Amino acid sequence: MHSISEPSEPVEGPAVYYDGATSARKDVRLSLDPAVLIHAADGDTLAEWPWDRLRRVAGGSDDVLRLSCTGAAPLARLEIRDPALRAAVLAGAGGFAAHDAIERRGRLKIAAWFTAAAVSLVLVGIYGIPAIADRLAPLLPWSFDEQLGRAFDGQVKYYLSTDDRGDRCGTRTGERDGQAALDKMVATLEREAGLPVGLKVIVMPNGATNAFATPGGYIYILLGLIEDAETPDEVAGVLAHEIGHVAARDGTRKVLQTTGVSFLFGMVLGDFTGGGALVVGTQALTESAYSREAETRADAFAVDLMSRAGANPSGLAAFFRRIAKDEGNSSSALQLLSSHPLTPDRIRMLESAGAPAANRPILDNDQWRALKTICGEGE
Amino acid sequence: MAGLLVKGSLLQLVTLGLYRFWYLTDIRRHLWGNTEVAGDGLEYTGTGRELFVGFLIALAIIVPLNVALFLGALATGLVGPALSVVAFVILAVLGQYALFRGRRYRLTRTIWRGLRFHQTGSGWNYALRASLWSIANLVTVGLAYPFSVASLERYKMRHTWYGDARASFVGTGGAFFKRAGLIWLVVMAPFAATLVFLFASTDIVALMADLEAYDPETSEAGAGQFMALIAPGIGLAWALFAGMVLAPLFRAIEFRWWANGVRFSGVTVRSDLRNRSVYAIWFTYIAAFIAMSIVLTLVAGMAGAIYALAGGGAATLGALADPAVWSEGVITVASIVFYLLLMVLMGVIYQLVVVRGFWKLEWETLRLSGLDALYAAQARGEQSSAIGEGLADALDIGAF
Repeated sequence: MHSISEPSEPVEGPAVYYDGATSARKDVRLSLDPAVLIHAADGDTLAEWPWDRLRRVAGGSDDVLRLSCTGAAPLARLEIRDPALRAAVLAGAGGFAAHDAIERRGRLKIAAWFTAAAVSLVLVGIYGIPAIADRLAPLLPWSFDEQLGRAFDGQVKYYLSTDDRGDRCGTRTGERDGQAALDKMVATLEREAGLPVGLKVIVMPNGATNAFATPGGYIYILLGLIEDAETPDEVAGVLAHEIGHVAARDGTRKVLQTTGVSFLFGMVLGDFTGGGALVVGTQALTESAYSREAETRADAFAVDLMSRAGANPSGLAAFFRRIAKDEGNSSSALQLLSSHPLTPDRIRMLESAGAPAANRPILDNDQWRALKTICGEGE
Repeated sequence: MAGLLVKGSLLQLVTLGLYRFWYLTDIRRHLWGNTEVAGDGLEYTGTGRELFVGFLIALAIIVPLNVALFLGALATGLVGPALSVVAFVILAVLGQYALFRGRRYRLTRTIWRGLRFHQTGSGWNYALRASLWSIANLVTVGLAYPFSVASLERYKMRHTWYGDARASFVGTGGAFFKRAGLIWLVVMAPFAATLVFLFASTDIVALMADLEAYDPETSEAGAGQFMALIAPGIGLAWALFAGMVLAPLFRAIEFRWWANGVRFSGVTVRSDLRNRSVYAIWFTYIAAFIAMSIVLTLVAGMAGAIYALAGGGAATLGALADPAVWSEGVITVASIVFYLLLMVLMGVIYQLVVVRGFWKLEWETLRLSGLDALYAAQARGEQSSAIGEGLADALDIGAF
């Protein structure tokens, strides 16, 4: 209920009235008993606005009271500048306290619900979307992975190609033997891995020490990694690790996850001051937690695959340890470590791999020398 | 106004921006409500709820569109540049549509003397015109801009109404061009010239081949062509620099030209906006930014010093956790808080100095004559939905 206190004495005063049907400005007199009565200059009553339907228009300046009336024409307005009349109308309407309180409560509710919604959306981003991606990826047909991989392939080649070498090694005359050695290594591992997609492994003429897999069996080994490796088992270990990512469909999962998170945060939450930082932070958080888990799984896969192929599974551990030791003086090694963080757990897991059942080197010496020249004779 | 800005931006922060519809509404209500045109106040009747609903409808359009683009990319393998171009074109046209419809929403929520403004015309028609003009602007390196604004303003204004009184726009691209041409000459002409030089005087294919073979250490070959590529870079850098310095002047010229071209039934408009007032607003904003950064840095520095003097906090709580990890966490949290505080304050200062400053300046320097032509208008036009505003928000091209 609105508190309706009668003005102590009949107050009258000038005001401006717009009827909401024309833009005419009417100078009127108001009387406040028993309702707000609007009188034209000739004394006719133009309108009668009951106290309990009176509303104050929000957002105006302090020295004019602007009123509307529910039930009257929606845009009909009264403007009162006369201080005494203003005070009397405010008093008569109880300072609009009841209506203001409803408005305030409404705002408070909106703020509370939307804060809850924001918390909920962040939780969905951190836990829900990775969970969906985890369960969705295995359900998708492998052709989806391959399509994704093919789409990425062009981009990878575009970004990693060099002017003098193009986008891949192993195609020129002097490099055929190296490519054959690589093919042999891939074939040995692929036979044991039993993947539902064919592997597409290429060496790229890039000096960085790195290797990565994209969805659908595409694996890219950067030349720097082959140059830094001391035995074929080290290269094979890294390759087996990447095959682990392919088998687990980690790339597809990551695509689903980043698409979901950036959509959720970018679109729904919108752009606001400081929001960008929060979004990037949340995204980094979910990704790093997720990728640690994925790396550990790929390691286990690699150790198992190397053992089954009869190669030395400790190659991967040896390689990572050497890279970590050289970390200080080689910036390219850092790239490998940043995408494959070397946690104590990982080293323990990698080193627990025992000696191979039958140590058949994955490449013989000639093949290993050939692999080293897959991008042509070095400097 | 500072009160509602601080409250609104803090609520923005805790709701991760979801409060923006109500925040924007409060700002508009305040600006409109404190503006008088010939003694009669403006009123903004839009609500946060309307904007929120508009945003939800926009999501229903943009989400399937994005999904379709994603699936299209998968099916055709065009993830890279080609798809970005397609997506950009679609979203740019949609963006122009959104801007036109957003204007309609704001007009139909603007009340003066008990009548609302409204806008007729077709959003798609406008989007098509605006998109074609954008291409013209691109091809002419901005030379067509005055004519594009004039043409689009003619379309917008002749579909703008106050009740049953219709507006029009008589400003011409030629007049705008005459006043702002010199700025184009200073800012864009060097860049345009280098581009023309590159495309006209050089065989691009041969140039690319030369660059492939170019080795800075061993050969001088292709150095001339190399300059042809370097020059546009320098031209662009100059355009960015000069553009930044002259942008306020350009905006002032454009606003005066625009205001002088507006007609509303018998009403004519003149703007006495001064260039230096526009620069003053930007300088005030920059000065406020610098002052606030200094103050906040001092505060942060002092807090850091106190923290260090107190024994690193963690050392006294040694058993709690590894001190190194602990203090790293404290520093991370402190810098996030610092960053957010800076962002919130900057947002408030921007609204206060720039948005409110320009609103006030532009209205105060506006002179309207023949206003009595609008004093007997009849009510017409209905409220329109906020879908345009929603689309503009979802596409991150928030108008106003």
